[in-house]
Amino acid sequence: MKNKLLKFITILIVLMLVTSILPANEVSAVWTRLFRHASSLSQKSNIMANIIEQHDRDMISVLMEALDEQVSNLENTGDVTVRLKTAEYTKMIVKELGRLKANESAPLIIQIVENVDEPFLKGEAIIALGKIGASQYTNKLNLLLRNLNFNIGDIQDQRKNEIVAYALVLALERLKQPESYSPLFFASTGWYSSGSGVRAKAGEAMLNIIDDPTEQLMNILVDNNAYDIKLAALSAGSKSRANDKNKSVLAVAALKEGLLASPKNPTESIQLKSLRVLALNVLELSTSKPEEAVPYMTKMLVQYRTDRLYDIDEMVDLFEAFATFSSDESVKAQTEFLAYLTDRKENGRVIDLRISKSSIIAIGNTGNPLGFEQLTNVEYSDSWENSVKREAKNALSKLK
Amino acid sequence: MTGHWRAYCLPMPPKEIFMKIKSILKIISSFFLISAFFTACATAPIPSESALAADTSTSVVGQVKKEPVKIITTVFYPVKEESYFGDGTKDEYRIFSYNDDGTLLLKEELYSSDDQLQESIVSEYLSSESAIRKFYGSDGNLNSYEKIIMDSNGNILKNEKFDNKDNLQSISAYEYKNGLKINWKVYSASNSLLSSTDYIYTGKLLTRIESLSPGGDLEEFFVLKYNSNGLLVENTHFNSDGKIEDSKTYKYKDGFLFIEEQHRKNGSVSRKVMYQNDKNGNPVEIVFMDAGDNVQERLVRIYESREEISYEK
Repeated sequence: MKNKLLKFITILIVLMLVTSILPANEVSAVWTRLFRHASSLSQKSNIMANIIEQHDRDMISVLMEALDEQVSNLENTGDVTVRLKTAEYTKMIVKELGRLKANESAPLIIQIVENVDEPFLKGEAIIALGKIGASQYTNKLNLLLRNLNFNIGDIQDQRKNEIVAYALVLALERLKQPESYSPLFFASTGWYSSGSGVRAKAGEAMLNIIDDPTEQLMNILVDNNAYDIKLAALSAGSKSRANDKNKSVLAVAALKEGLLASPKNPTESIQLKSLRVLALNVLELSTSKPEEAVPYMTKMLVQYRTDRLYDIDEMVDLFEAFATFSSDESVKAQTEFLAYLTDRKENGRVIDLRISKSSIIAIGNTGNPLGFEQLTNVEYSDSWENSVKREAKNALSKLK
Repeated sequence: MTGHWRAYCLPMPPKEIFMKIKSILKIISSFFLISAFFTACATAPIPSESALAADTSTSVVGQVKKEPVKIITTVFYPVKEESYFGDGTKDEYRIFSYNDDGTLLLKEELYSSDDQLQESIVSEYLSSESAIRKFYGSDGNLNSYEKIIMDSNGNILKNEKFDNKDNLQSISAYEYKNGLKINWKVYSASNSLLSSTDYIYTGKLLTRIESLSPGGDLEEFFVLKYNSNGLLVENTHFNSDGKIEDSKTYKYKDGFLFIEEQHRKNGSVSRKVMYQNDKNGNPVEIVFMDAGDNVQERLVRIYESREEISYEK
C-alpha cells in the first residue's frame, strides 16, 4: 500500500505543477452562498463547519454575517437543547473570527460579551476580542474583570465567573493597555480558586502588559487600606521590569505605609512586618538609594529604642538596608544607634549580639568616615564582647 | 477543500502553488542537466525494475540504447507554522507530523502560545484510495471526521463530513478529466444537491469557474487571467448579472508570488498579503494586512525537505 501511496505522492507533485492552481475564492463563494440559503440551525451549523475548516480571510464576511444573525436572535431563547446548540454554533463563529484576527468583527463580538450569560460562549467572545486587538473595548473588559474581582455575585456563580475572569485576563494581557493593570492586579490577589488559574495567569499578564507599573502600583499601595494589598503591590513592583529608581520609590512609599499604620490584630501585624521587610530588601538590592528612605529607616531605629516595636530579624533587615546607604544622614542615624547600644552595654544591659554586630557591619559597609568614632568606642570598650570588638575592628578597616 | 490529495499530504494554500511550480521546475530542470552530465560521463544511474526490463528488451546489436535519466525532485513540506499578532507577540502555532520519509501527513496539532494543545487533526490512511481525517478538540475528544475517497491518481473523488455521533453533515464530490478537476458538487446530509461548480480550462490553465444552483442556474463566476509565464495574475469574482463582486490580484518577484491584494467591487484594496520566500520559493513569512497596511497577522513557516528519485527514459 505504501508504494502505491508513494506513487500518488509523486503524481501529486506533477499535478501540483499543472492542475491544482485553484484559487480559494470559489470555495469561499460556494460556502457563503450555501450558508445564506440554509434555514435551520442544523444546516447552518453543518455549513459553518466547512467554512471554518477553510481558515481563510475570505470567509470573514460570512462569519460576520452569521454572527450578526446570532446577535439579532439573542433574545430568542428556545429550550435548553436549542440554547446549547446555538451557543456551540455561535462559539464556533466567534472563535474563528478571533483566530482570523478579524478586527472588523469587534462591534459584533462585544455584543455577545455584553448580552450572553453562558460562560463558555462569553469567554470565547472575550478571548476573541483580545485576539483581534479590539483595544477600543479595553475599558469595558476592565470593568467586567473589576466587578468579578469583587465577588459580590451568588456563590453558585463562582465557577462560571472564574471561566469568564480567566478569559478576561487572557484578553487584557493580549490588549496590553496600562489601564488594565489594576484589575489584573486585583485578579492576581483575588478570591479565585487556584484550580481556575486566574490568579496565576493574571500575575503573568501584569508582567506582560506594562514594563514599568510603578504609577499604577503606587496608586494601589496608597489608596488601599488592606495591608495584604499593599504588600502585593510592592511585591508586584519588585518583580516588574521597572528600573531600580522606580522600584526604590515604590519601596520608600511602602516603608512609609508600613510605619504609619497600626495593626489591629496579629494578622495585620504580620502583614505590616512583611511589608516593611520587603521594602527594606528592595532598597537594599536596588542600585538607587533615595535619601527619602533614610528618615523612615531612622524612624525604625528610634521606635526600636523607645518601644521595641520591631523584632531582631526585622532589625537585621533594617541594618542590611542601611549598609547600602552611605550618606552622612544615614550614617549619623546609625552611629547614634550604635552609641545608644554602647551606652546600654556599659550600663550592664544585655544587648542581642545579632543587633549589635549587624549595626557595626552596616556602618563599616557604608565606608563613611563618620562611623569612625562610634566604631572605635566599641573596639576599645571594656564592656563589649570580644567578637563584637573584632567586628568593629573589621568595620573600621572599611572606612575611607 | 481543493479536491486534491495534496490537501492532506502537503497542506499548502493554492496560491502558494504558483511559487512551488517554478521552484520545482527549476530543481527538475537542474537535475536533468546534472543527469545529462552524468550520462555523458558514462556513469549510469541505478536502474529501476522497469528500467532493467527496458534494457533487456532493447539489447539488440546496433540499436541505440537509451539510459534512464535520473530525476531528483526536492519536495519541501511544512513542519511548523507560527502565528504572530501585528505587534509581534506570538499567538498560536501548528506542528505538522509526517511518516518517517515525510511523504504522508499524519497529524496536525494547533497549540496556544503557552503550549496548550487547542486542536488536532489526525489522518488515517485506510488504503491507497481512502483515508479518514479526525478532528479532535483541546480535551482530546473527537469533534468530527471526514471520509475521503480518491482515485488511482490521488485526486479526491468524495469527501463526506460527519459529526462525532456519525451523523453525515455534508458531502463534496469531485470530477476530473485528463487530470484536471472539472466539477465540484456539494450535497446535503440527505444527499440533495446544494451546489455545483464547473472548472473551465484554456489548455491546461484554469480560466473560468462557474458556480451553479442545484437547478443549473449560474449563481456567480470567476474569471482568471495569467501572465505570459502562465502565472495567475488576476481572479475576478462576478455575480450572476456579470457585475464584479470582488477580485484578487497577484504580483510576482523572481517568479515567486510576493503580493496578493484583495479588491472591493469598486477596485479599492481591502486586504493585502505579503510573502517572503526562501531561495527555493517556499513562503517562509506571510504577512496579512488590512487596507491601511496595518499588520493583522504574521505567519512564519518552517520546512523540511525530502528528495524523490525517479527515472525517465
